Amino acid sequence: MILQGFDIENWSCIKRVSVADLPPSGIIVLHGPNGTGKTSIVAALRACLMDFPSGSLSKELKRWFPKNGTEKPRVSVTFRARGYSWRISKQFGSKESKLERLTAAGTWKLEKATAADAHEESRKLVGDTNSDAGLHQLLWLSQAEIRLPDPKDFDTDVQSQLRTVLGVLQTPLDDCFLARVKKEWSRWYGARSKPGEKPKLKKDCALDKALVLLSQQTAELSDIEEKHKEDEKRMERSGDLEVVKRDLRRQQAEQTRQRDLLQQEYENSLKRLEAHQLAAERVRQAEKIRKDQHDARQERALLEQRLHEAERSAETARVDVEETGRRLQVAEHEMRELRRAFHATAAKRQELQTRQNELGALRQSLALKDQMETFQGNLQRAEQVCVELDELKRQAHACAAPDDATILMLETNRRKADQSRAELEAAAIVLTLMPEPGAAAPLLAIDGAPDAEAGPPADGSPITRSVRRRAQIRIPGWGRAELSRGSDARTLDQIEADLRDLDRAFAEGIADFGVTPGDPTALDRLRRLAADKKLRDPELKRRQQELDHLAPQGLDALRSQIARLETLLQAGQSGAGARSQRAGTVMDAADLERLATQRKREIEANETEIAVRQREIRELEIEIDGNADAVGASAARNDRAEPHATAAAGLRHQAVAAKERLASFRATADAVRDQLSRMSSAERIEDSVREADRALQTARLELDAAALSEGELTIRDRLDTAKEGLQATEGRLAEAEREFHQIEAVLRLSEGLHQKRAAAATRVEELHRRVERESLERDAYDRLYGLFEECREKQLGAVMAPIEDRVLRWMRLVRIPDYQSIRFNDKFLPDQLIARDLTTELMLEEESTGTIEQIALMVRLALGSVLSTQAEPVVAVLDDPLTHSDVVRLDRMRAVLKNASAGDTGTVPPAGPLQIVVFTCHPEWFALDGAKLIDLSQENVMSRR
Amino acid sequence: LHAADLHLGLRITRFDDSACNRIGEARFEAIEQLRSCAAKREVDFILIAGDIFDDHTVSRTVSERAFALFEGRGIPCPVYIIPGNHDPLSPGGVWDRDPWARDRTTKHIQLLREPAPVAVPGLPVTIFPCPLRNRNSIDDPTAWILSHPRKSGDPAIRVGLAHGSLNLFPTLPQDDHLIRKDAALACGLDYLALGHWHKPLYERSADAIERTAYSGTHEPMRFPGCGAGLSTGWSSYSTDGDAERFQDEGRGTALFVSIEEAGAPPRIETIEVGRLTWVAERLDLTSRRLGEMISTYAERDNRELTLLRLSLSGVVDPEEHLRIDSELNEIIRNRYCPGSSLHADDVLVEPKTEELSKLVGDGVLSRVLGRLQQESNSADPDLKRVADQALKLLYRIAWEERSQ
Repeated sequence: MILQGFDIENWSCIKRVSVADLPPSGIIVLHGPNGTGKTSIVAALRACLMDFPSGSLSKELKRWFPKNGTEKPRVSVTFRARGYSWRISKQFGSKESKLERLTAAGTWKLEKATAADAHEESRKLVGDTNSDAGLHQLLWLSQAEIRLPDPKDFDTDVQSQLRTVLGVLQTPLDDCFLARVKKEWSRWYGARSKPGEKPKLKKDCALDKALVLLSQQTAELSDIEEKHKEDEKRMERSGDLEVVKRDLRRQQAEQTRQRDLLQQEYENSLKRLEAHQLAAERVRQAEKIRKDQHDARQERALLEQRLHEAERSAETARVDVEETGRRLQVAEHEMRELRRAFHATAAKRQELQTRQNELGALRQSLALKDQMETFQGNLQRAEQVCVELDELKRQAHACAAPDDATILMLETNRRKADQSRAELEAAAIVLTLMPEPGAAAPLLAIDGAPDAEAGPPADGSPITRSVRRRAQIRIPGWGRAELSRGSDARTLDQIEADLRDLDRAFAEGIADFGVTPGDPTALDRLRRLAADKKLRDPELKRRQQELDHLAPQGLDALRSQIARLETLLQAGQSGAGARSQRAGTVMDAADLERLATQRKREIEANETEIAVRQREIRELEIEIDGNADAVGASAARNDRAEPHATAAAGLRHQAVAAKERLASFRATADAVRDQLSRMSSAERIEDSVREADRALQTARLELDAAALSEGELTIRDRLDTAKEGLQATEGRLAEAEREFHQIEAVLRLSEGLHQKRAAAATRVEELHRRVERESLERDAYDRLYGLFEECREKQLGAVMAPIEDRVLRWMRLVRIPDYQSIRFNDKFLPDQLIARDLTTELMLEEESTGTIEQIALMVRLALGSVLSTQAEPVVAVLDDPLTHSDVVRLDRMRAVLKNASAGDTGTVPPAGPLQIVVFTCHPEWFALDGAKLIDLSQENVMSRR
Repeated sequence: LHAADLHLGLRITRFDDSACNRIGEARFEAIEQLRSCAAKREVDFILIAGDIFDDHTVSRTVSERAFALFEGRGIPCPVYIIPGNHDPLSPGGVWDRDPWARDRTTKHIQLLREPAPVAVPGLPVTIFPCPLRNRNSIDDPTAWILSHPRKSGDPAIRVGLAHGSLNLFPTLPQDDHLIRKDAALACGLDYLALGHWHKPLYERSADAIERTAYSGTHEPMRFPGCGAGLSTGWSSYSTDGDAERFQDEGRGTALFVSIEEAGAPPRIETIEVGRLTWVAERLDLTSRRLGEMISTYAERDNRELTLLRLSLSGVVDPEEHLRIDSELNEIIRNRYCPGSSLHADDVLVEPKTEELSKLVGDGVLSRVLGRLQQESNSADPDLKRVADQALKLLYRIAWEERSQ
């Protein structure tokens, strides 16, 4: 159904509005400012076409009746459906309604005249629905209706039509199957998990309980099995213990028999054992007495020996005392003699030293005299050299001469000057005047110089002048002639200036050498001066070097040194004379040298003698008092060392030590004598020893008489060993019995363990089977559920592809963020938007309001288009749409509307054309090419009450 | 009458409680059959060659019931019992506790604790018992009999009673109480009654006479022909585990032995005394009529005393699978002995091609089916297992929904 026109009177604020000849497709924009009555028009169209019969008393209808007037609303809508044009006219608040059809002749034919018939028929023609149901639910948008219908409210007839056009999404069998699967699946799970993840098992579901129970039962079984294993070990041990016990009992019996036999043997040997024991005791006593007597005899012999040794040592010590005393006296005498000789030698050394000093003084005086004579010779020569040097310097000063560099510079200067001069001469203009004899002398002004009369030369030769730039010739009585050079005059000036500079430099360069600049031989003279200078300078240098050698610190210093030496010599000559007299010889250098050598030998001999004396004194001191260091070290090594045994000890110390030893030996001898006096006499001791020997012999004879056999000797040990062995065996047997009884006690408590073990294992296995069975069922249902969802997605994708493609294309046109796909639900409505990277899934409701409105409108248009055909196009009525869109998107949405209105026959299924009627207060938003704009504010279109 | 390996108080774990109880109870019922048989055949005495109990820690109830069965009125003769490796003579074990304690005088029961000859009162018979004290041992339990050779002119029939493995195979564990294979002849025994192996076995001696025999267990405890994986959870204490010699044949047996006089060859007859019959069957359902099969199982004889393990395989359609899950499973679980089970994991469910689209439609479910069929062919066993199960669920739900 599409609208062709409408007439509305007395509807809400509208007095009258009349619109006709609406195009069958494309965009129709009915616009007017706020309050014009646009929404009222839409309400009128809805009421007339679908919602209310003319006589309806509905409050919803009544609210559109004029508030201040008695006129009844009248609405007439012309529309096209089923290949015909129809006009439904209703006067609300009355029974007056009619439905007419336009005939081929162009006249309206009344089809239904009653209100009910007309209403029902018109409803059928436009879709048999109210204006908010059927396809109108999608395409008749109220003001501010930005969202799509809720899936559960989406008209099932439309879904059915869409299924017919787009294909089957989900069959009733699918629905039932999914419901069954979901129901079963929910036994185990609460919510679906993300793809690839296993859903979480529902707490307290049967399987979960079974798993918990299985865990408990397994633990219980494990405990029982552990106990069973321990019992098995105990049982095995009990078997081992049986063997051990049997063996121990056999051992016990054998050992008991052995012990009894030994006991009998022991009792039989008891009297002989006692007799033997008594004899043995007597032998032990006799041996002890004998030992005591022998010890006494040995002790006395030892004391006597010690006494003898002490007395002999005392005698030796006395001899030592005497000997060391004598040696000490001799040594002390030798010491005195040595010290006397040493003092004499020392006195001689002092005498020799004095003589040596006097000889040294004489030798010094002779040296001073020689030095003074040398200095005087040097002074004389130096004074002569000074005179020669002064003469040479004077000559050099009088004949200044240039050096080689100056000569070279001057030669270069002259060479350049000659060159410049030659250039000037070559470029010069020679002005030659040859006046007649008697003629007045001409006046010449050459190169800017003032006029000068040029008188003719006396020889009558012509007057010649060199002109460089300009020459003026004034000839009295005749006039003036002028000669000028061209542009080269400036170069000649420069050459001339250079020449002047060269001449000036040359003059300055030779000024110091007494040569005039104009002298043509000036350079040669200078070269000669330079040659003379080269000859004079080495001589001057040689004289100066000689002077420096003779008097390095000057002549005055040399004279001062000579004066000082003269003073020293005079002072020394008075002492030297006395010493020469004392020596009785004439003092010359050779004598002095010979004398000095002899004196030196005497001193050395004296020094050697002094050293010998000192060493002898030291050795004797050591002999008398000992080497303190050696004595200390020796003492440290062995405090008890005999003093005379060490050579380090002096004679004095040896004498003292010998005296001490003598006293010590005497004291020892006295002590031993005292001990001997307290002991028995030797004879008495010998008698006691003999008696003890006799007693021991007697006792041994008695012991031999009571001697025991080998068996009697070992019976006691053998019996003890047998008893110990038996005791040990009984101990081990008791231990084995005890362990055996312990095992028996523990195993006795295990009665029924076998059944418990079986029951626990049965429970665990049953639970295992149950869990396995149910897990398989759970996994199978989970797989079915998952696969169903997956397949449903694919099915939806296949069915909804035309819609999705179209909407996605429009979304890209409008520049809605980059989505890869749209996931539709089984009600043909979008659920989620999938991002291009497939990682983000966004519920449509999570998008911005503007985007939701735009996508919702696109989906409405896309779905509506597939239900529209060329033969039976569909109208979309949009009341104030896209109010949440920004200007840019709104601008692009116009393209979407245009595209949707045109339809697309190239798609499968084809998208039919839409008649899109937009009510808006912003006509510029929808002003497309080809759009029909109807201004409701125009009086000829609409008038308000 | 020679019996062995009663394993009272049997420890089995792979059944639910009721089945365990039923199987345990059957072992006592089989003793009653043994007693009846003894009475009927008027035997002189009964020999129990070890392992009367499954363990030396069995409950008081089990030990008392066993005692009562052999000591009570129904028993017509003495019962000579030796401890085996499952119930060895361990201190504090079942033999040290009431009612088996040694200080109690008994009328029929003769618990032979020591390896010493025992004369049977009123008969020219000497029994040479070989009780065990350990689970495992490298000693031959009959070795001691060699020190008691038959005396010349001794008219007594010499009967050995032992528990262990007759050393017939080189692979037997060395600590499994190995008994020399010529023990009967070497020890001068007319008959050597053995226990330990769970199926009957007669061993011919060098004199070509069968003087040595295992009676087998009196009541089965395994599905015959099934490996350890399908066992009951019971295990021997031998180091080679559940070896073939511990597999019974699904039926309980004892031996009726007759010996006329000393030196005479024994006549040995195997008699069935078991209560339950253990059966393991495998069926391929492909091209088999399910209805007939269900009827067969529903009407099988003696099913209450049959412990059935039915394993199904093959390909069925969803409807048949539903019937297996409901009808057949119901029959196996309710009409057979508790513990009977149906295993249909290997059954593949595949609707007929013409039914397939009708079954799952052309919506999402058809896509799901395609994916599951792919996963069912996966090499990943976990994925395949879940996919197979999911497929079965899908078919079942779809079938049920379609049927509504």
